[in-house]
Amino acid sequence: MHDLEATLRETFERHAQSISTQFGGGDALISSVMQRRRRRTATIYAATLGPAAVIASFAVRPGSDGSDVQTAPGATQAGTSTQPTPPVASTLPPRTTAEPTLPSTWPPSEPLATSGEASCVEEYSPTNLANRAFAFDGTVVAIREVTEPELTGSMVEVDFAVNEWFRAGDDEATATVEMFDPESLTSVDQTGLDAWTVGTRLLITGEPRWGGDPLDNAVAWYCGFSRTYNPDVAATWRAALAANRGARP
Amino acid sequence: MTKRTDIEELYEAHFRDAVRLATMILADSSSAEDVAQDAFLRAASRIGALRDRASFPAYLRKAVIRTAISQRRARDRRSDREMRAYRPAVEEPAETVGSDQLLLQAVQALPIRQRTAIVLRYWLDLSEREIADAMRCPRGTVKSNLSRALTTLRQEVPTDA
Repeated sequence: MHDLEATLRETFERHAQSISTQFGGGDALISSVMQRRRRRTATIYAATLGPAAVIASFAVRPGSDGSDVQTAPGATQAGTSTQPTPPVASTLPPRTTAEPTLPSTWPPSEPLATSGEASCVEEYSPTNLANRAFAFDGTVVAIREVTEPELTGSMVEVDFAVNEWFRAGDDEATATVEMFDPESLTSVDQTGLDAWTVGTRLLITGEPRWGGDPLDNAVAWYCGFSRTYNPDVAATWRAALAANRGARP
Repeated sequence: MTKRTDIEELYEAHFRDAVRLATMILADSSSAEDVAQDAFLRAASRIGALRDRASFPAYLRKAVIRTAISQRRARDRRSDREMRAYRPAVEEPAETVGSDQLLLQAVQALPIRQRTAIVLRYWLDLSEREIADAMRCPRGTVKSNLSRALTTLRQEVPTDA
């Protein structure tokens, strides 16, 4: 029993030493990193100038284990925000493909706020929205803290009861997406709504953090993309993503 | 402000390790280099968000592990039928023959999460807690992945091999 473990260590060490690490492409890779860095710097600078300068998408960042659930499903929305407060049932709403029952009026859709770590590389538009890996209309049912010891900033894992999938998701009734912790955002962060909580209905789009399938370690895109629910905007998303259904696998 | 020379230094110091780790997990040098590049791009682009630049190697390692798992799982799902018959070829180095090759082939035939846990435990000597953090799963899942992998390897590889 112990022999196998010792053999594994010795075999791995020999094999690792034999792996070739001769490869090209270093300059191109470093240039790509620098391009991303420049975009990020420009965005953070722009974010200090005002909301009009902040448009486009959000670069992913790693997270790690989720921990305690912050609030129980069915809780009501806190704060004094103008965030729409749709009827929140005590149980999760079932997924439907039809338009959910709506209040007679909804406030205008607002983009969600992010920290200055967001990197905006694409302008929000139906065309660019259609390039995202996943998109849905969902109601927040749980928020868990995520800790990543190497990084500053604060992320949370958010569970949604999905009202309607616009892309990916298939028949899943729920989705889990990593997002900026709305309680951690400060006045120097980008403008946008930061008072969403359990019970808030949102339109969420994004990408898999590490590549792979659309909802593998899914992270929300900000900078105008992910936003509060409004039936008119939802209709725009539905049309844009249906019209470009072949844009992404 | 991050300078190009800073990124070049990170590349020189850590990219080889990233490729090695990806190769150990994936057993496919071309995929491994792609994964290492992708992980380095993501990790180095976030250098400004690191609490301490000394934590970059650990952060890059996580990026490699998670990228390798995500991309391999996606590939496996896309071509599940073909992958059932697929037994990854371990590139045979001059120093590795006989029982080493047998054991490496058995490791590479493990499911990706078991394989990753085994490599992290017995090559990088990470603790179960560190593996859980890197693979973003509960510690109990790491334990069961390691246990199942060792059981399979004992069945596949003779104890005197």
